[in-house]
Amino acid sequence: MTFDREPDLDNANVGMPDTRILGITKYIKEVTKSVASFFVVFGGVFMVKINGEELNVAGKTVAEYLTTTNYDPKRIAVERNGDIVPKAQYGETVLKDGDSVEVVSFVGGG
Amino acid sequence: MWEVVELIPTKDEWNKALCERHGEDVQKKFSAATVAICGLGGLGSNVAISLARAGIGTLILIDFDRVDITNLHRQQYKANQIGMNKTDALSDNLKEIAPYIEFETHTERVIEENAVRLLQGADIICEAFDNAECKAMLTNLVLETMPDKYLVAASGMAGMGSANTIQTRRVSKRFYVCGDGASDVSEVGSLVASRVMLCAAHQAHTVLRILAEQFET
Repeated sequence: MTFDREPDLDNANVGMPDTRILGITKYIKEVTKSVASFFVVFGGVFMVKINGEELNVAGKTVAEYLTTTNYDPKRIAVERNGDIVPKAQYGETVLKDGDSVEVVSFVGGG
Repeated sequence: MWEVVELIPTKDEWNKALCERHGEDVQKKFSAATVAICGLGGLGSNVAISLARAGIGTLILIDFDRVDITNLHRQQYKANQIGMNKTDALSDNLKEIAPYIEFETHTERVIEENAVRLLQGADIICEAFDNAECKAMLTNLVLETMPDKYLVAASGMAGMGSANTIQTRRVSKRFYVCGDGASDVSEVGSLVASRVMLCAAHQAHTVLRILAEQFET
């Protein structure tokens, strides 16, 4: 990027971002956001956050997701959006786009 | 000739000393609380001592087991208590430490059928079992059937790993897990007093913070 004007010797502008650069950055951000939302809406990318990691598992049940992992079902508790998923409902609880899931897997010792 | 009379402070003196250290508002909350401790091993016996010293009003102590020689390296029992029920041995020890605490003891296993009966009086429940499947069972049970209670569980404190990896995590509004989340005694092969006590201290401190209404973010 080049600057086509003399540096401003007046201290008033020191530390202020160039408004033209700011405009371009904002424009790029907006375009990126639109492209991303296009893919989410039309491209079928439905993400579920599981233990902080975005995974493409929306539409699967909790039970289906668990079979793709190494978790021992007898040692875990699963929370979805801050609420416990009862063990008896793993098979019927469908993960949705934007869900936040925590799988707590216990280890022995005490 | 000389009779030895054990003089202990009065309840008022005791309470005054606690208020001096904790502040009156916080101490009122501690004194009014009932905390259940499920499992009185390395975690539970240490959690109980911290909470008794802090002046928690009532402790519900639950364990089916007896004191064994292999417990003494990390659990708060004495050599002359081997063979006693852990509930009896621990309440004896706690009475010496904090004579005005109220106890409820249950010498039985916590299972799905009796959990509500054992735990219904508690404001906060500490999961302090050693078996991973029992930990998960209690966690699911409490969160599914007693949604108004706080649960402070523990997972991962075996071995000689760094003290700094033991942490407290607030999984959801009323559910906390302390520990490193990973070191399994069946893989690591050892348990040492200091690391188990660190985890127990995290649990006890979490209980006190919940009561003082200071929550993890």
